[in-house]
Amino acid sequence: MSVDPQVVAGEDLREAVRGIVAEVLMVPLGDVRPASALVTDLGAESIDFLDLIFRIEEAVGKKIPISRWEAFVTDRLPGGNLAREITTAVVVEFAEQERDRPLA
Amino acid sequence: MSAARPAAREPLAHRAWSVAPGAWVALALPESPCPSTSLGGRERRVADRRAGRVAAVVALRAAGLAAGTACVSRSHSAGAGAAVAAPAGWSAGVDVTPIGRVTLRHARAVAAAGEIAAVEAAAAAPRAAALVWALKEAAVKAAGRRGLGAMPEWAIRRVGAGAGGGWAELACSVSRARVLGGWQAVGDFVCAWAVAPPTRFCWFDRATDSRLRRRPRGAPSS
Repeated sequence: MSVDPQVVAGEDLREAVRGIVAEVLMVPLGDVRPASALVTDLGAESIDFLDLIFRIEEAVGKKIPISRWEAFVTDRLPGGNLAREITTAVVVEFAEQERDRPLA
Repeated sequence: MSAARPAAREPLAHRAWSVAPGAWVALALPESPCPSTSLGGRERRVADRRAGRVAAVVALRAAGLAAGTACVSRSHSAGAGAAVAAPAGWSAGVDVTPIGRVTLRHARAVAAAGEIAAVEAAAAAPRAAALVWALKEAAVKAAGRRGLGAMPEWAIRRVGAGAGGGWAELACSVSRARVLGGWQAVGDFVCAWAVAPPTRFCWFDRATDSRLRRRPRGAPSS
């Protein structure tokens, strides 16, 4: 699924991220809810998170180094149980952050 | 409604091998073509975690260690489980990865071109991407770390091949810690491990996941 980066505003980006999560994790779209934990509920593995980053890059039209995802998770979920706390909503928040990040 | 739990009770074949004095790696694979790949979400995770638990039991048994007094690392993916069991005080990490799951793009995100080339030269090229990924993941876990961001910190310094597998030495660019790694290719999977006895080190505080800025007292200089 390719996503036109020109339509990733607001609701479109949220739905785009839901679709990306469903495709990468090979789960029904209906199972991808904002509170769905990617690891414990949807079975994500570490390499899946890299695929999510790749797909979000395509969606927002910007290169995203792994370090940006790591920094976001560290800041957003300090000391948390990442297996439970990285949810679809968190991934959407990351995608929105990257979309709105000014190009260097 | 999801299927009854056939995947959670899928028969698993297992094998174990010694990777260092007192340290053993075990691998648990479905005996039949893995239904886990046809599962999604929580079901897949349940099936995979079971394979990891089986591998852990096998590794501990092979090493003659008790769960509460050993260093154990587990991994699971696509129906396969792997575990490494080492004596208490060691650092140990393991990763099992389907060979076809990892592309060069994935490998380039966590490794330099030279590392990938070195692994390609030592092992069959189609496996190189998966090997790079699995070795780095194992090293990160041996250091008590987690997350994608730690993988680029571990460089594959030396690598060599053996029958069906090989060995590697990895070093952390941040802590200067080093681990001895290795791998075995089994069917569609590659299993990689990284171990370091107590006289070597991983300079991370396991309780806080914070890096120790100094070499711990008594640790060797290399």
